[in-house]
Amino acid sequence: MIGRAFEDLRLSGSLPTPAGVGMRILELTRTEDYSAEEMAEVLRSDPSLTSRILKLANSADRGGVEPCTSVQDALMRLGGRTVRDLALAFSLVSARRGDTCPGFDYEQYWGRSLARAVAAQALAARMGHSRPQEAYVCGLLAEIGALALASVHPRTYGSLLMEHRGVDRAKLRAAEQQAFDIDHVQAAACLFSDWGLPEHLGLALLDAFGGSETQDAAATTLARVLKAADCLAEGMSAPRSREPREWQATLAALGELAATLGLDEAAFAVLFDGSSRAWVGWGRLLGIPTADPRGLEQLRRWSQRVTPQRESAAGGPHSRRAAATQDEPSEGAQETGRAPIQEVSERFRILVVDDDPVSLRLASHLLSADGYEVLEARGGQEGLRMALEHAPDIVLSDLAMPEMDGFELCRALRQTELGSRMFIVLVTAHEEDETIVRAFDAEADDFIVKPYLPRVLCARVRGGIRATRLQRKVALDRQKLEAQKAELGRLNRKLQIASLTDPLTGLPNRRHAMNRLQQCWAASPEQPQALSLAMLDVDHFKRVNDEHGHDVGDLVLVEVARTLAAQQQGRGEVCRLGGEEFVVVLPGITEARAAELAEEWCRAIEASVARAAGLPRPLTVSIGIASRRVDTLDSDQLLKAADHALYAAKAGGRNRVVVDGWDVLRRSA
Amino acid sequence: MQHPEDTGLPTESEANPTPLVSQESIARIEALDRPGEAAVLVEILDLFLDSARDRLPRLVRALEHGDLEAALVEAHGLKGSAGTVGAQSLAAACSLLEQEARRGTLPDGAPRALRQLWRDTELALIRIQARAARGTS
Repeated sequence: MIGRAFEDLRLSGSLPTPAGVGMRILELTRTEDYSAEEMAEVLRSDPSLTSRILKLANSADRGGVEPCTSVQDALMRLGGRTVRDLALAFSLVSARRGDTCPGFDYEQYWGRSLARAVAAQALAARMGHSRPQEAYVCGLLAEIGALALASVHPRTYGSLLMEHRGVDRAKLRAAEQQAFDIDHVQAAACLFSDWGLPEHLGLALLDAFGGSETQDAAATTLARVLKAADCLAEGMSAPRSREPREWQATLAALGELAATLGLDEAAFAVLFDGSSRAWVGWGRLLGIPTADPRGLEQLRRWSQRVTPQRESAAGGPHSRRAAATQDEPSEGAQETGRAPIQEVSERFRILVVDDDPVSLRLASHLLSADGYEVLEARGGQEGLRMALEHAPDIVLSDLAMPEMDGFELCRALRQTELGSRMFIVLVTAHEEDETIVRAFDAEADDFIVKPYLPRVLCARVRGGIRATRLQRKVALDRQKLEAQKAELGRLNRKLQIASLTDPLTGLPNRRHAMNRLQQCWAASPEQPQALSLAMLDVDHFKRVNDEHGHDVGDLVLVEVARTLAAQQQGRGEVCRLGGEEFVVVLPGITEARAAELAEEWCRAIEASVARAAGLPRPLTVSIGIASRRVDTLDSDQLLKAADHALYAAKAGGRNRVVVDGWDVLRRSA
Repeated sequence: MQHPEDTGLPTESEANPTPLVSQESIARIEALDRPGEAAVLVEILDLFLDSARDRLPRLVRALEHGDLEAALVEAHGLKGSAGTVGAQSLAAACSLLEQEARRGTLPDGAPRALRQLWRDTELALIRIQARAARGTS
């Protein structure tokens, strides 16, 4: 069931997928025989990803160990497997684009996820889990299922989230089940296994947040870490302006956690405050907005504060958003606002990179005067960081800069998914052909020779804007297409299900029954005995229809179907062949056992159906059984044998089970 | 916008092919002013004067020590920002030094000439800046 629902999500084509290098790593590691060198090669092509992995490798260091300085170091220290999982997780973070689900707060989502990751890393060792990086990955991606649902069903999931704001997670999961046949924790576990993350990670998720306990020892420990990390993350990331009683609840949960960890107040405060600071540092590195670092002491003050009655005390979606803005004055995100999917946003952001403050400010003034949002970076390194953090549409970079020059910056940006979409203009002081060729070799889009005339710069930038606009339109069109494709995929799936389902009883229909029989036949060539077939017919059904009307007849069929299905307990699959005829395919069941079971069904139907359908007389069925024998030629012959047995049961006086259809078949032949 | 001829600045006669400060460049920077905000020109010249006061002694030192690589870097940097504010003679001199350094030769007497040129340029720019500051206050 979950498998099928997940297949549905996958069909949409809009599940979160790792970007760029993450995807390459995923492909590389699908086979078992990749070398560390190959992996290092792929990783090196994305400097920002590399720096993130190094930071994580080093932040786990305790005492005396030399910090990792290269991809190889990290591979040695952490192992290929862990580096791979990290690369995957980080590239999922940078793949976040196209925020299309109206009720889903993407920034808050990633902020909270990052807080959980950092907390999980800090808690892992304390709680007896030996792999802090694994805990980090798992914490970062624990709620990825929610992101998946938001991407695949933006509208439905958006309104579902609005409706269920503030309810506990179990209720939200129940609502997701109802709407999508899969909840966000199950979806995350499916994605985990899709991406080849170790199995116990998915099990830990299901245990910690999905209400299904695991027996796996590693998963159990990790689940405990995740639950604790989530509690810590709430304290770190919840908006400051929440109600005091909400803070009181959070503090109580944190107090319990401290007791579980066996930490006194001071030691726990060190853990909390440290995690909060680490979270803010990571946020800067990954371009995820975070709150200011906070300490337990602050939480305590907030929980005691007397707030004036606010209109928004109920905490509707708008008030929360407003509160978050007030709490976290991060630039950019809030101030520009999220453009709705239907519109191509017309605000363009330009990053100017120059080590010379004169040129930097002048270009900045020039472009601001033309109405662009301008960011300034005083060197290549800072430029790279800011470009990845603020995702400008256009980068205008000087060539000659110490440490990282314009060529290097351009090449580094082009290695990243985000940077490959930017329009990059290099500013050079030489008009030599060689420089210009090198600029284009570094994959710059354009160049300009300085000192330049303001109008020339503005004209060049407008060229970039044209390209950006076109690109945005293409992206938008693609988004629309993807949405249509997803819709079509879902429709197809529904049609397919409908074409295999009997609308009255909801059971699979004849076509499905034949497919299933064929499958079972093909699956057990060496164990031919282990396939039985029961064909069932309602006795005197015509009389029911004549005496009580067709609606009662229908009711009888529904009741028979339900009773029969309830009797299966996973043994056989019940299908309606048509009219009052049903078939049960019983793989792995011998003839003798099938006969026993059929007797039970007869009794169950006789006991309940007539009463449920309001009939005065008891209602019975006849059943014919056939099992595969060595000399059975094909599934058709098996079907025919069961049919003959059923005929014999009818002829023998109904309300009975006849097993040996073969004799009848022989006699009639 | 002012015509370059009306500025009452120390003149760079037609005899001199590269003027000390290009009035055209200055006018272009002034055109960026927005009502109610501080003069862009004042800020830009501040930045230039500050950075040039750092850079020039470094360039002179490099020339005196025959440090080709440092001379190249400093001359290139100063050329860029001087060109940006329209200090054309200085930019041209730096460009020349940059080419020489690239060839591996540094002209004798360059430091002295450069110091002289800088004093003139600095004075001219300070005057322009003062006038711009008056104009907006």
